[in-house]
Amino acid sequence: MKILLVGGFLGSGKTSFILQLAHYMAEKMGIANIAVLENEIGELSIDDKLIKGSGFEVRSLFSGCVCCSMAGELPVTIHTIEKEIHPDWLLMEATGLAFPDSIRDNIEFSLGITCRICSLADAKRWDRIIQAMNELVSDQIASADVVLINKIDLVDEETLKRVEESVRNINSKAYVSPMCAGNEIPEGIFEEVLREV
Amino acid sequence: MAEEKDFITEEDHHGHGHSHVHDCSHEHHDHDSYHDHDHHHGTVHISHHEGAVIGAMQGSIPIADYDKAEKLLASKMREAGRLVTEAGGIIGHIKFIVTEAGRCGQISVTDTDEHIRHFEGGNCRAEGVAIVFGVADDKLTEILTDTIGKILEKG
Repeated sequence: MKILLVGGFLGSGKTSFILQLAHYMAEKMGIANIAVLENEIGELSIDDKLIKGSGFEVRSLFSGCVCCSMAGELPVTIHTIEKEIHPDWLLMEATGLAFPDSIRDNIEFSLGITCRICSLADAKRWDRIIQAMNELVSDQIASADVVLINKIDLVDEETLKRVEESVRNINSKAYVSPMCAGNEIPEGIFEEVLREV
Repeated sequence: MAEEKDFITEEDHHGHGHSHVHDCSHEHHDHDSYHDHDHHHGTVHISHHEGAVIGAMQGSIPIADYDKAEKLLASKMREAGRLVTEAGGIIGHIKFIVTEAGRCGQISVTDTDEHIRHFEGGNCRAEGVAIVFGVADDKLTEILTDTIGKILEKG
């Protein structure tokens, strides 16, 4: 089982991206068995209903974050998913407040599985969010193998350039690409996200 | 019910969170959340995480027409978002699921604009959360009660 961890701040478009990615994997790559693990900090589970409604196998961990308060439950849940669903791929959506590297460390340490991290950045709200939540958002970007700058349809070229520079200053090693998860995402982005897992 | 604040700040989390793993999943339900403003309309359930204030609500919208209900809920969510921003807070997101007779929609507000996605679904109820920063518990409760709470009924 391969694991892709999708991180990024609240409202950055993680669920929309995962939906398109899962469809691409199933329909274009012919991967039949894809599972999605949703983690939500709220006491109500919201995103899992949307993904379930699209026909994918979904498990949820809510009322806490698997990078901290629910860290102990994560390996057990992944192990159960592997045992019951036998997915080729597990797409895991972190909460918008999660530190992805902490989740990756937990999975590697507990299960011996290396996972790839794709983090999303909200181009429209970047300036505000990076200022107010600098440590969290910087960590989300810094630990990513791929950073997708989302919602580029809502910003002008100058803003996009500034966001991209800011992202690259935080993480110069990651593959960085602008995109709009509200529209059709180019296949090249999916290929990059799934590379070397 | 008395408030028992026990949330971790971003700084605290970063300082401790990566060096150890602990499982307090059975306790955080209780020590980090409480109900407030239990009016006849939608009840707001407040909890905390990482400095965020999370207000959860669920109930039914007493309108038979799904499209009208969805539109009304979206407008109340926009209004809640505007009030959070006006109160000096930052919206993480405000997300609700609304359904009627198999029609499902997810409404998401991250600024003051909403994004609606439709999907196939069963018997979901109107339910959702607002995750915000920099706004006191009472203020978020007041905002949600005075906006979305006005159109949600229990049950």
